[in-house]
Amino acid sequence: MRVTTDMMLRGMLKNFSRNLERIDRYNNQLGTGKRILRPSDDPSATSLQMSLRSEVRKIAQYVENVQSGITWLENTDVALNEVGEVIQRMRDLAIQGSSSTLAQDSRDALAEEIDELIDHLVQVANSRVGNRYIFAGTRTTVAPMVKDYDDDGHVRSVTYVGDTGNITIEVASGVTVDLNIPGSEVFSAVFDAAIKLRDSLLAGDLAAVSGSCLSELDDATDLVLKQRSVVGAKINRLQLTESRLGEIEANTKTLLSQVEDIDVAELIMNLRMQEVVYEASLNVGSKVIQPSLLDFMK
Amino acid sequence: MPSTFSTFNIAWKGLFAARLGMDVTSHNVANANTEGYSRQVLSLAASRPATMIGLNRAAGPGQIGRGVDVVAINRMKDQFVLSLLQREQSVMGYWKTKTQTYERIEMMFGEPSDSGIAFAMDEFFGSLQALSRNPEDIAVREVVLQKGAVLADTISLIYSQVRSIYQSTTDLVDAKVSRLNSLATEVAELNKEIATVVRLGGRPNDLLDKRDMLIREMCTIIDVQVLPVEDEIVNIAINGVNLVHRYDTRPIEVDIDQSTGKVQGLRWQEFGTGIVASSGEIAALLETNNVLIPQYLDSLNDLARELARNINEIHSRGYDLDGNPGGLFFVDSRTPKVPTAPGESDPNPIPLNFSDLDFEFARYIGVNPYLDARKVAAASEPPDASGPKKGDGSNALAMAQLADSRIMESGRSTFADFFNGIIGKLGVDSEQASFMSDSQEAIVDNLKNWDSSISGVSLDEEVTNLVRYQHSYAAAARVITVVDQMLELITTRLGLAGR
Repeated sequence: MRVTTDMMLRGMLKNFSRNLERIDRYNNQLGTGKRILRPSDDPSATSLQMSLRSEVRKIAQYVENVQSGITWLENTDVALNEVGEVIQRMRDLAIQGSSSTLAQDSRDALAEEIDELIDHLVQVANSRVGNRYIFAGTRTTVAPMVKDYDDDGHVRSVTYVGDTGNITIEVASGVTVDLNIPGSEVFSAVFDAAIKLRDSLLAGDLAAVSGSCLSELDDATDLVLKQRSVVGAKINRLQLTESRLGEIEANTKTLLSQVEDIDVAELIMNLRMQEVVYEASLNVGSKVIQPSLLDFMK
Repeated sequence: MPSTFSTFNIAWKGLFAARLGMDVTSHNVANANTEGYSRQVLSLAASRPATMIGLNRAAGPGQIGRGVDVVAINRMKDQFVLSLLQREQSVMGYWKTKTQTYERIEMMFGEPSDSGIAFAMDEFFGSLQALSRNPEDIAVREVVLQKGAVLADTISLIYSQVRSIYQSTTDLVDAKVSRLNSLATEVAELNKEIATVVRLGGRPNDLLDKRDMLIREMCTIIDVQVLPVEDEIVNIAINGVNLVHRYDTRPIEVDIDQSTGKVQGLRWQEFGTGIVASSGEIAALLETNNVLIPQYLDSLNDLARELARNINEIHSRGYDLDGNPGGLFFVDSRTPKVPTAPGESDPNPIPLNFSDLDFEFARYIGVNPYLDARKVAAASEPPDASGPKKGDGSNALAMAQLADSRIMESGRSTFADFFNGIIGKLGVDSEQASFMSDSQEAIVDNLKNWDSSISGVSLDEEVTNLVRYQHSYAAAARVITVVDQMLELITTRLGLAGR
């Protein structure tokens, strides 16, 4: 083939620009730390990367959901525990008050303490997580238990003003967990039993105190224990979910990093190699374009 | 026996040829870097020998040479390579333009990133999850509105950017067409000059080079056919109709849809019939306008419409913080058909069906301007006698769960899948276009090298020729000196005997 000056110059310029283009690309990748700068750099990896990124963001949401759920349930558990202790104390008082040797004055004093305990129970039933009443169903902005006093200043009744709606969170795609126990399901029975006990103590009705009152208190204890075990199971489940989400998150992030992050060592090596090639092409170029027949004619 | 002076003539012809050779060589050297220049060579031939016809001719060894004649100054050109180059140049123009378009679209979508539609969508659905956790919290409600607005703005911004390619493509096609018309005029004029020179027996080498360059530029713009006629005239045709017919041209014009202002195609000014560009830059530009951009715009419209339709359906089923039914969340910002004041009932209930607003919905999607933080419908239970259920986040959760619902492509993919699909296809198409563009460039480069191997100037070669002609010139001059001395011998020294 007849080789002309123009051919050689064009070929060289082409090589220079191709080498520079590669160096530029490596530089960009090193500068951004990202392997993919445009979808066309690697279309299939781009799709994978986008869905992995979306996955990571979604998992973060689930983790927040689960954590807020655990906080909610732990608070519920603390409250129920306290309810159990209060009932136990009431039971002690009932046994004390059922003794026929006790003077009515002492029984009145016991009734006084029960009133205090009822107040405390109302406080517990109105406990909040953040600004939300946890035993109010979905009416979380209103204290769910309202006391009603009689003329003597005793609590006549405690009314539940919440509803029976569910507070639900999503812990994985399509998987939901109900967090709340409406106050009516736990507290109404307890309040009824407590008020009846107090009234029986005040009236000196020992048979009721040692009979139906005690058994109602026992029923209430059972109810609370049952609810606590449900709450405990849910906490367990959410804790497991949390650690599983943590694992998935770690795995997804590792995969994402493999897809989108550069291998710095490899890239720097490639860059160096490319620089060497570029220098070589410049070297060769400077030798190729200089001489012509004119240099050798005197 | 020829005349004594005939040798002068032979030597003079040699001198002349050598000088012309120098001219041709220096012309080549001067144009070594001129684009499109083809090297020229001096074509020499021995002159017709003198034949003395007649019975009384002297017996001799045969015919006697009469020196050298300059036959022609030829342009070195391979028409086959040239025609290949013209065709491949069209294909390269096509893929290069397409690559540029794809690169622009890729830039506009800006994926993968933390600022594009995919991210905004995740953020919006994330804010709904947060709302389902804390439906009473005004700040969280505010965030939902903001993220919704960011998502709507992102979609409409990207839509408008992609849409703006229409305008720039239309402008480009306009420019290319007027360039094509003026190239046609130049070629027609060159046809005339070239024919004149040819008919006078000359060789219009430099004019031919110039015309070849113009034709190559035309090929890049659109796939033209080059049809040689007599006297080195060429006709240039598109779809078999002559754009350049000898010395005349038939201009083409851009066919613009008056209602949308975007270019649809090309047509002949004279007949009004359409022109099909199957290659070249214009073909790529028209394809961009008529196929590519509508595809991406349609996808964005689908996404925006289905997103709005589904979110609205659930949102309007729910109840806000004050127990009022939720209205539309996303609206077409051109026609906000929503209640005018909080609590006021809607005089024109909004149909959930957007069919009348389908057109360019992605461009105008926005969050219902009458929504405020309290009016985001997070609850799905209606209020009862004792008031709204402020802690009910189940409607927000239902909206958040749309992120995982297979809604797009008749129930085959989620919103995120659908959008990933758009970006994936864009990546594949763009990669393919740039691959085609690169390999086509390699083909054109090869052909250019081939062309250059035949037509290019080699300086070494020219210098060699220079020396060769210099020596020829010197030798011819020497012949004259020798003859001169011979004549001097004859005229001054011969025949001294009778003096």
